[in-house]
Amino acid sequence: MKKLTALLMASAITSSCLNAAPAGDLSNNDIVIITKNGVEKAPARGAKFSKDSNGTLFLKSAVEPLPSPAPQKPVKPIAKPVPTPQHKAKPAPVAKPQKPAQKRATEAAEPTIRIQKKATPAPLDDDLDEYSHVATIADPVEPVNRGTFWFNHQLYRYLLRPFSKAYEFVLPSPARKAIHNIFDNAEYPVRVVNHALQFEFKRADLETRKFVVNSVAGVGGILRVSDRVPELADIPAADTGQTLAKWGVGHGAYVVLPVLGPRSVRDTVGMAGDYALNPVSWLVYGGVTGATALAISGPNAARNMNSRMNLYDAATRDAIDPYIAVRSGYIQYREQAASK
Amino acid sequence: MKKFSVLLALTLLAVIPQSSASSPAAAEDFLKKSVNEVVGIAKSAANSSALAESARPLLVKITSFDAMTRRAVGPGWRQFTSDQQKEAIRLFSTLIIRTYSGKFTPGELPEITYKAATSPSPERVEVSTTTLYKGSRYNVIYRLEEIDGWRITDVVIEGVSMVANYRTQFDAEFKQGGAEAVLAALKKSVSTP
Repeated sequence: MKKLTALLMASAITSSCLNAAPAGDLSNNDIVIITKNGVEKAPARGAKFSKDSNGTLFLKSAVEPLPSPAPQKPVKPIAKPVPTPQHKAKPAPVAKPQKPAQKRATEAAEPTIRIQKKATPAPLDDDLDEYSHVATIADPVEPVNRGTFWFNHQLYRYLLRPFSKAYEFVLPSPARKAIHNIFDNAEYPVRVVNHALQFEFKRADLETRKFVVNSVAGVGGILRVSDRVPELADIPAADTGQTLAKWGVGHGAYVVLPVLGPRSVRDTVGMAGDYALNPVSWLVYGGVTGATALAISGPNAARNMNSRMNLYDAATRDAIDPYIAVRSGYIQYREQAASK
Repeated sequence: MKKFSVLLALTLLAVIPQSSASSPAAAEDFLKKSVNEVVGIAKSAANSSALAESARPLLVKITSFDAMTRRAVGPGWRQFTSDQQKEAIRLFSTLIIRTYSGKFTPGELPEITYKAATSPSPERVEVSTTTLYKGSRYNVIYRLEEIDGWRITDVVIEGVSMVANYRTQFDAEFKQGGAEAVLAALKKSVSTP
């Protein structure tokens, strides 16, 4: 009997060492007696044991395997992982998992059988969901880019915007539209070559038809007659940067070019391709010089600048950080162009 | 039996309009009606700030600024207190209404062609449009959700999502100084004419 009492005390001490419930709670625990005849159970208190019992007594909790840990409640998805170097937002605090030792002790004190409920998925968090993916671009030279951005901003503000306003003031809307249409039509080679390089032969064909319709019926492209033909009204644009994207060339780094503004390295290369494919450049490089060259390229430069100023204003007006607004706008726009 | 048939008919009548109200077509109808109303206000406005003022009640009705602000702030939203959230929604809605109104020049109205609406997930609809404005053609997608009826939650112009664009900016502010920095930046933008 002494031996029995000693063992009981040892079990109680072990249990309390494991940070278990007070010894008084042991009344709920069964004692397991392992004898030659097998395993017998007896209550911890009030059990009567025969004097000749040589059985070794253990707490039930000491011999039975711990119940497997309850399934962790799935953490609400906060955002889809956005693979971006600039997205470093701290994740929302997630409850730390209990330390194993503590868990073990708690479970040792309550060796009740747990019915594991099937984990129900948390409701879909709607903070970001499917709109969480935003195109991003590496910006390793951000301080330099910000410097160029500031320079461009001053240039736009004090020189180009007044010029752009003057262009809008001097030329009425129909005239501006006509100039836009003529040069847009003349840029046909840029689009058709790139459609072909992207293996979009149907689009190249539609582009050719559009060019013929606008050049002939639209008097050299002044009128955009093709808009009245549904299949010619909405042909996706094509440029060299987009072709490189479809060939699998990545953006590379983000750069802000003086005067020209934001580009990725890929689109800077693409811009050179577009320039080479643009008939306006051919004239300038084809021996046309002086006033004639200016007369041809001048209106084109003015219309480009005008539309660029409008875009710049739209992107930066009411922005929190105009630099980031332009960078994000540029990359989202180019991603969409490449996906068409 | 007659009573049962009448009951069945009544139940069907009650169900049919509800199911059609949550369809992409219903969202598209809602958008068309809303855009027409905005264009109607734009016709009579003298300038963009007057337009912002007169279009505000309508824009508040057709847009979910709560969802827009929550998504524009992103994961940091949970760390805003209730008062900070309310303040952020108030400031952001002012900014968005001003941005939207600023895109219109009085006298020049957009020509909008609607394409078939798509539903990327239940209770969400995207309506693609081609908008001809000042001689340029833009692809504009309106994102709508069913939140107490259909509400616009984002506008994507030429692939650039307004909400996502603001999120990249708010994210940078939040990393620097938390909710206070976001609110300070918003206040600064709203107070800058």
